[in-house]
Amino acid sequence: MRDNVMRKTPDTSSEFVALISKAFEASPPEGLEDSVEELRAAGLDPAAVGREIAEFAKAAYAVSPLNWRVSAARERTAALERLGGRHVVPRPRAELETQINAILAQGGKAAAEVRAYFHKNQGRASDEDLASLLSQLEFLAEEGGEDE
Amino acid sequence: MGTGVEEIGGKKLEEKPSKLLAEADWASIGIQLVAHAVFRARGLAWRTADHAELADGLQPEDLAQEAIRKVLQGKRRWDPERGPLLPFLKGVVDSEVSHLAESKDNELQHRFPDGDDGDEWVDRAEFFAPGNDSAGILPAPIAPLPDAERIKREGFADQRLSTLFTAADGTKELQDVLDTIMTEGEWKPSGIAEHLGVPVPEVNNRLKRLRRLADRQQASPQSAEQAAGR
Repeated sequence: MRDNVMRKTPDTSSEFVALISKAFEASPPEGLEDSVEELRAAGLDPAAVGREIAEFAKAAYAVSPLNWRVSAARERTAALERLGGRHVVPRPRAELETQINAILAQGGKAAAEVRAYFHKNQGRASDEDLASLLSQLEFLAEEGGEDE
Repeated sequence: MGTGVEEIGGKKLEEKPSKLLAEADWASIGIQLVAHAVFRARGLAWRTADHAELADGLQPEDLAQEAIRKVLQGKRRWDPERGPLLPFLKGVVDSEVSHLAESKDNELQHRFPDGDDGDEWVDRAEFFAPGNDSAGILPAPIAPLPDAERIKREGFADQRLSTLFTAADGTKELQDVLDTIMTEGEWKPSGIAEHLGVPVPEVNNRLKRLRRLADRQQASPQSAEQAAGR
């Protein structure tokens, strides 16, 4: 139903063009077929446009923070930086071994693998190796769990 | 219904938008988004008397890519729960066009005090012509034009109308649309449809045909003749 608003008919060419512009803007292209026609009218090749945008989007997604691979890599880098910044406190070997065993005793599947490796190499590992291992285990515990 | 947010190990991972973005049909989205950008750019050109359409050598494809880049960089946050991706991207393109319109206005405001030639006035006046802002993206209007500039503006409008009537020549359904706008002052497709006694989608199609023919006519009169089947 038309509204009862009195419309002003255009008195000048510019008023007429203004009304036509508004009419045009009220009819945007809708759907794929209509969009293809819009592009052809503008002298563009729809297939080429589609390919170009798809390639652009693929490249943009590859570095997007919304891409889980990108966010996972960033988290890993940040974690390594935090780990590298930790100060390793010198402790007696017995204390190192006790604390490593205590942390490994709380862990799951990954801890079981580390525990097997630790017991196999415990005798050959230097004090520095044990201090480093303990530091990494403490770091993982502080970060909220093992990296499973 | 999923929330798009998964709670895993105390951390919220927004997997759904990421997955949808990864699996989107970007070729189809691209065609429709660039077509939308073309449409908006042409709309700006109709209002501004600027045949270059977009400032700074920008092409409609650039606007579409910028919109996609902003969404994928997380600068414009798309929430699938609030609607599909394509309409959201079209909104980002509209926002880009709005910024271009504002920067064009600023450029003209800076140029005007030093300009002897009236072209800036004409551009600016067309740009801010009353009622030209159906998309609601333009800033407030400016002061009225001097007579000389008004004459120049009417000259430009006459050229536009000549292009339009040439495009519609020999096609009664297109001429009917122009006649309705002229004699009734009616620009809404629903109003035109009621006046002509045809469905609204039919009027929308006629308006699109007319606009595209006029754009072709302006770019290349021969190709417009071919497109009109004459």
